Amino acid sequence: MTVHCFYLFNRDGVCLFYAEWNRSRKVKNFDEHCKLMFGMLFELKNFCTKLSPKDAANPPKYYMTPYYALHYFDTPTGLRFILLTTPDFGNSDVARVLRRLYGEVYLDYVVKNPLYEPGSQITSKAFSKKLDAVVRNLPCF
Amino acid sequence: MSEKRVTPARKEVMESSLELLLIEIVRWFVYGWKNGRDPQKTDAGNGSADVDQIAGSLNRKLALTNAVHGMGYDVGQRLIERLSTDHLKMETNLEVVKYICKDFWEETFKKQIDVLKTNNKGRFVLQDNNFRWIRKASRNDPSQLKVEDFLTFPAGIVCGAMNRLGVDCTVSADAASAPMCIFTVEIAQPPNNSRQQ
Repeated sequence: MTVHCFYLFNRDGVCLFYAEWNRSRKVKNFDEHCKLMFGMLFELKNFCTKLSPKDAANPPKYYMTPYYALHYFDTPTGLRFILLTTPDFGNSDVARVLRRLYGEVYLDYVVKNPLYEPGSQITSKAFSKKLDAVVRNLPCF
Repeated sequence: MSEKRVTPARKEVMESSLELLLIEIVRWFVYGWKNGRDPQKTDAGNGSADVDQIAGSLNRKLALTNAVHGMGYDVGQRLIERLSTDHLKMETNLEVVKYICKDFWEETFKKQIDVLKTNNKGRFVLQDNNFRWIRKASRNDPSQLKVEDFLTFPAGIVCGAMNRLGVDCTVSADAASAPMCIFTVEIAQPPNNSRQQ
């Protein structure tokens, strides 16, 4: 039971941050990979809403394959938090975890960082350290 | 203190809005006052700069230091009027500095100054080991801002507060090891401890 990696996209599909913990298959072309990831999530979100039996916005919480689960959380501002874990992540609501990452880590260390230019890549060490600390303390790590 | 406070009940403001406003004040002066400005396009970072651009960026730095410090000065003066209402009269410069380090810092920055040093010749060094307003600052490329830029406003506040309490001084700030920062207060008067009113 572990967490594989973390992506953070903005509304234009730019990957603002990426971190990996236990990933055996390395990414060859990161830009293509990000485009693929963003495009897939965009369409997935569309599908989920359009095919929903209920008339309400229905973004996916996660999708699961035999080898990994991809958890998704997005904000009205278009920020997308993605976490890839192993399929046995238990009962924890990882989308809730992502929401916590948004509130505790992103808001504090990016939005309120005076030296951060809104819209640019996140290279601040404080952010990556805090994210690492929070993810390693998760029950599903 | 046994006197009852006569100041009105406290109202609270969300700290996030203050933090974000303070960040924007500095960015406004550094990046210029154009709508939809893009920091990547400002001339301050350009390699080939002509005279106007150099003058522009120097002016901006100057504007930052003077204007933002001036803003802090005015805020400090009003703040000290409000906060020191119930306090006893302060006789010496040292008492004023101690008031700033303890009560004023506690009210304004939620903690007290950690280390106070003086050379007994009118210079006081106030060290705050975890200054609240810059504790979230972390270098993020590309950025033309430095942590020191965000200390001009608090330095102005301290300067205004002390001047209002009768101590003629200048204040400078240093953030070489953020989030620890050092405010240096230089008192303009001759080095004797009693003040004229």
